Amino acid sequence: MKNMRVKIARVAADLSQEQLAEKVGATRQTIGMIEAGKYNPSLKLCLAICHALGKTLDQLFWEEEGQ
Amino acid sequence: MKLPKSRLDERQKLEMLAVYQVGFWVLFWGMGTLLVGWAVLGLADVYVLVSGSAVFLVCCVTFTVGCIRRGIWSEYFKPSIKNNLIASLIATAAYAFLISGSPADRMIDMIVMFVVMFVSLTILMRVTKKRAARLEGKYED
Repeated sequence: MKNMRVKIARVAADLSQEQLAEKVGATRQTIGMIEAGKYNPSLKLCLAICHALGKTLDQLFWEEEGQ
Repeated sequence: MKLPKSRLDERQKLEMLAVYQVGFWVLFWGMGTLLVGWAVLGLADVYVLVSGSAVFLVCCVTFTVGCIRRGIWSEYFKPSIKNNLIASLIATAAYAFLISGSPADRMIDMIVMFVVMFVSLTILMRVTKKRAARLEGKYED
């Protein structure tokens, strides 16, 4: 399932995938795959993305059961 | 020698590990089959067989010790006497196809193989269980 919240937060922060990737120590492909829902990042990477985008884990990654 | 810092991120490392895993099993079964084939058909001289077997043995020991240290027995099977018996029987049956000699000699070889296999597996299973219990205790609250 696509993670549009990460994509929206990234665009709102005026960052390209490349720039976000550099900030969190990942590759552009990995950020693209997270946004496309093709890769489940570790908690460490989730936190790094949250810090880079000024959001909380809940705002970017929380999903209700069965969602 | 200090290796340079990894250029891969966590996803790439996971994917590389998956590639390593496939490579490892291809190498493991390929080399195992080759060594057995050479030995049975007499296609290689003793130096090739001994050196090849030594490398293969080091690979097996590294793998086994690594798993035991982490308290891991098998991805698919529970550590149990029943499973050890089944694995030993399968190994003995495979071995029976490879050995030659009189029926009595073959029977003795097969019994020895079965006993060695079963005892080794049971000892390793006990050690792994002990190690797993110790690791569980380490992070207990």
